[in-house]
Amino acid sequence: MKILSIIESAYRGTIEEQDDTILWLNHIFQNGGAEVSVLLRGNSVNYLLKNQDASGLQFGEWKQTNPPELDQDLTAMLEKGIAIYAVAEDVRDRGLPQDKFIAGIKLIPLGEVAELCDRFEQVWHW
Amino acid sequence: MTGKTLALAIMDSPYESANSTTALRIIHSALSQGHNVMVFAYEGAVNLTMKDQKPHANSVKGTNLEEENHPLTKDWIAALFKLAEEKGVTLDWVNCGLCVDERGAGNWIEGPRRGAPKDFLEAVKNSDGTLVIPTR
Amino acid sequence: MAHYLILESRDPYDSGDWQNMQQIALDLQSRGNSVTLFLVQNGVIPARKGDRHSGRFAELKQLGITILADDFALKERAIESLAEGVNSANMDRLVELCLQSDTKAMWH
Repeated sequence: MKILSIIESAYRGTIEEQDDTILWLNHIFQNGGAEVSVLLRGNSVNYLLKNQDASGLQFGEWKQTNPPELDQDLTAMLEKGIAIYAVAEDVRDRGLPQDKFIAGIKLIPLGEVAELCDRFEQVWHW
Repeated sequence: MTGKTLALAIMDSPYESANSTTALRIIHSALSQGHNVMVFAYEGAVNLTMKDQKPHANSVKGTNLEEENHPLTKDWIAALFKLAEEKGVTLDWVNCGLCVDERGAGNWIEGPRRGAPKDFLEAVKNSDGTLVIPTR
Repeated sequence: MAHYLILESRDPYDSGDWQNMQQIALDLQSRGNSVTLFLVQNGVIPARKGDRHSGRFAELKQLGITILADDFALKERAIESLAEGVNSANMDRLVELCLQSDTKAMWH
């Protein structure tokens, strides 16, 4: 089963969960035999940056370790054969430096999202 | 009665989003039409079926507990299980186990079962329609 | 080709992504797919006749998109007169569309 997961929501509970739960879920789906591809749109395109750093959180004496590493989670998904797409206009609008992106992702213009959707049996928007 | 199956993934906690009510209305409609429904409750949605939910009175409106008849999502969902039984169809409600554990949300009404993302994936493969209702 | 059922829960006052999703809907339609935009929750707010954005629905319908609005959400918000291009529909209709064999449902 070919699934396109379009992920728009970003940084929602990622500190508490130590990951993005929708990236995680799709990784599990791929492990479970589905053929998953991910399209990042909206604020989630920020996940492509390698220099994200959510470390150093402290509450009183509690020091939180193992912060989310969303870029590395995406890289791990790529290594599992999950294609990662991102909407080029959303990258451009947010002024993201592409030289700091993880390797292996594909930027597509907004106008090609429909064509991408047509290639999948399931299209889920998160 | 056409007896199709709808797979639904939901994510919102009770009392925080219109999504929960809409999802339950969709389930009600599908069951009423004689369809089976599989629900994968992910993240905060596992709290929808918590047994310890309690109604409250409303001092602003001056209503007591009985007059207020405050909605509890566990009661709405219990009613959906009853509807499924009456219609002779299946409501398979799966609460994501890891989501339950991290929220300490394991005390449910009768009906839901503990499961994992693979249950949703399996349901999608065997369903006639799928709807994912994300949270924001 | 497929039938795309886009459930629109957002409105243009709250979400800058409202127009982007419509663009995707139009692109899907122009590729030969059929597209239904089903307004739910606050997604029905611009469907009130006289709303600043209500004219958009007539344009979308003209371009071949079917626009339905959840009757409960309309009633809940006292929306009695609908914008041109929008028709009221109930949950049963939504479920029928979800279960249509060629449907890909996307919530926004």
